[in-house]
Amino acid sequence: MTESPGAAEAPAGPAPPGAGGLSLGLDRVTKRFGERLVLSAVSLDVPPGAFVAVVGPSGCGKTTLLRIAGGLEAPSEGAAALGGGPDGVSFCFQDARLLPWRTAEENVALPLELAGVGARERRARASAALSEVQLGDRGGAMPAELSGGMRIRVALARTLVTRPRLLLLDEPFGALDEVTRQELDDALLSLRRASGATALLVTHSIAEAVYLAQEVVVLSRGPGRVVARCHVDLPVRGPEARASRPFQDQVVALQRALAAGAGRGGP
Amino acid sequence: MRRALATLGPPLAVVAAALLAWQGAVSVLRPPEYLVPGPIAITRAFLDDAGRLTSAMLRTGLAAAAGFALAALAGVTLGSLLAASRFLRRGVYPLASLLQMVPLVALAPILVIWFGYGGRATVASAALVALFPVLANTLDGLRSVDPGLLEMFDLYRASRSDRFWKLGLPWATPAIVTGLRVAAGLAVIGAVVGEFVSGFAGERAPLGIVILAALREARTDLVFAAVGLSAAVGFLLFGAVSAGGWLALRRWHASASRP
Amino acid sequence: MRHLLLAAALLLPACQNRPAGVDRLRLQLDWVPEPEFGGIYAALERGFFREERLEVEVVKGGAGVATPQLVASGQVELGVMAAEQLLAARARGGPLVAVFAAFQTNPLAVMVHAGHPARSLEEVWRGTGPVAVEPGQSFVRFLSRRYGTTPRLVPYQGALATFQADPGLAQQCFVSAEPVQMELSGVPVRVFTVAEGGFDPYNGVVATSERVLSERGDAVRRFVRALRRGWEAYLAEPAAYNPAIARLNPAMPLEAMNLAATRLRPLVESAATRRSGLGAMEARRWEELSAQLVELGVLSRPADVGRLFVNP
Repeated sequence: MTESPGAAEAPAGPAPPGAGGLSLGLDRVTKRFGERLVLSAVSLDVPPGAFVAVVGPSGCGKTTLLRIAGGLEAPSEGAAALGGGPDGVSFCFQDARLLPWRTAEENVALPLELAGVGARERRARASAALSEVQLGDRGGAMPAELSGGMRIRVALARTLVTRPRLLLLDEPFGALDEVTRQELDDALLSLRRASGATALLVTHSIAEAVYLAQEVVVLSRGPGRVVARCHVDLPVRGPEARASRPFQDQVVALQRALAAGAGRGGP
Repeated sequence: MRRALATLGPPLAVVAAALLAWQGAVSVLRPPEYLVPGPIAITRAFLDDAGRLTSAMLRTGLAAAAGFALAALAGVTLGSLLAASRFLRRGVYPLASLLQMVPLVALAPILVIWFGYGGRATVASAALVALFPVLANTLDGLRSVDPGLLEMFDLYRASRSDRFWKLGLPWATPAIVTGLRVAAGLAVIGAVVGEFVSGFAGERAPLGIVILAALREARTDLVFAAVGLSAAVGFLLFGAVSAGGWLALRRWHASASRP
Repeated sequence: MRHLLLAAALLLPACQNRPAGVDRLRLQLDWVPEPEFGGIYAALERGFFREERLEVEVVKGGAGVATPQLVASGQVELGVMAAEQLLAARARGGPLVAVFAAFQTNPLAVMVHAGHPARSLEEVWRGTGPVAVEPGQSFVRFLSRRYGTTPRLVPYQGALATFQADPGLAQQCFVSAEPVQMELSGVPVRVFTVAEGGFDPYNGVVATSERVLSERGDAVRRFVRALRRGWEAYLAEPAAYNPAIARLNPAMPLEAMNLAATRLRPLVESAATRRSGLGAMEARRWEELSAQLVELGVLSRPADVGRLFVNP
């Protein structure tokens, strides 16, 4: 297994309390689009600094859940609340959404530019963010010149450049190959650890969910209901974890929960 | 250098072949001069009057360019306004498209009454004809922005101004360039038709007047020479716009990178 | 099968609606229907063409209609044009032959508003105001050469609105048409004829091509005969035929047409017509025009006058 240069070997146990992490609470959120029921009474509690993953089959409404969490959609019933204010939320989408006429660095700097940050500071922070995703030397490239994986990395750098306190991630690495995905998971791990931000990740990869999150919520096939919540307790976090027994046990357990659509908690 | 030859070579070869065929047919069939002149006769007509025709070409060219510039500015501005306001769009857009349908020859005399003889009415005529494609393409481009990008700008709580200058306008640039290309050719037509009713005759005659006078005097060779020059003006304007478009788009848009 | 052929043979003449032996001719006008074509419309109204076994189709013209080219190329058999246009077309390989000259004195003129400072054609030409003329008119070259200067020339395409709107504008006209319309609309004008300025070619010239003349010469002769009678009738009583013209040209009121027609007689009649009938032409006039056009650079060499007109 290749070691991603940015990932540090971490002590066991949950991440340190998020110094700036926001909390997120979803209380019996239900969502209908017209006649179609998409989410049914989903409740979720994400304490500050925590990393929660939501998994489920296609069409279970997990993307909708994330959008409600971020305020892009309003719930039909129930409530979504951010503890700590609306500022500091950063989205990462499945598609990179880069502006094709700007260089990678200019793309990363976009949120800062729109917020009125000065040019020199923008450039410095964008450059630093690109370095953290190992694209420090490609700042001047145009999106068309970059591979799919590189573009996602630029998008990730852009998500992080604003130093967010809550990360909402919608299958950000879903379109990538396994190796690149693992590299980016490692990058995400270490970056989040450094900043202490809260994270809510939607993914269809159980392995990824176990690797990154402390709690994994399983949704049923649509309309989405919570069918399982699993607390993930790994003795070791980091690239070695993937080969370890506890990790693989956890993955199997979740797969069973996903398939069965029943059960709760515990490795 | 080789690239330039590869681009210019084929069309030049076709044109040369066509000219040879034309001159050949004229030399063999010998039609009367007033009916069909050959390329040699047309060239001679140009050379005999080169000074006057070149001034005429410059005059028409400048009027077309000025009209084009006006249409470009007004078209992008109006297109942007219409994109921003549904009310304006519903109210103004149908009227603007009506403008396109009124034949220019009917409008041109009114332009003379409003703007007077000479350059001004001609520029107005060129601008009028060239306006709609720019307006329509700007509107189209602005309204077809990728929804994912729009949503992202929403998330960043971008201002309306930022949304236009940093997202809408760059996104719409390829469409605008297409509109400008069409407008370039139309501006020349508009200029010549405008000259039919407003151009000065005599020493300061633009191409439109040269054409009319030549028709009346049965100087078909001169008509062709003048028409050829107006085509050259159109070609130059189109080329300038295309070059501008290439400069603006070359780093990121597929249309600029393909030869 | 035989029955079908017989039926067809019987039906065909009925379909064409024309008895055998009638010649069909198309006549292209160089302007919109106005009293300047009075003789043509009178001949139509009175059936003079029909009496000569002719079916004449009159095609309206306007600004920019290239009548000489249309006749020379065979699109129409006959056309009305100015004499200088005929000479120019012949010089470019268009073999036209004049058969009738309605206007023995050229009706072309320049009109100005009553308040305009110019008191003569020369003053108009030397003045600073714009002069609206049809591009390519030879009289423009003539006057510029005569007075040694060219005014600011703008295009005239037949619209009167621009003249009405601009008191400083001088405008080309036919003495029988535009000035009359202006007077009746309450806009007094002064008129300076081009003939007074020294340029007096035939106008309202009906021409055909050498080919039509050689192949259908008899029909052409009958046409001219009928046309001559038409002009005689029109000059005698224009008000009888103007309504027919007014129907074809709603832009000119009947009242204007009636007034215009009364001014035509001195232009249509001349010593030559009194000798040889309306429309008759003289070689001398054509030679004079040819020499003038050579001097102006419109022709590179004098025309062969003998070949370009006949009095059928």
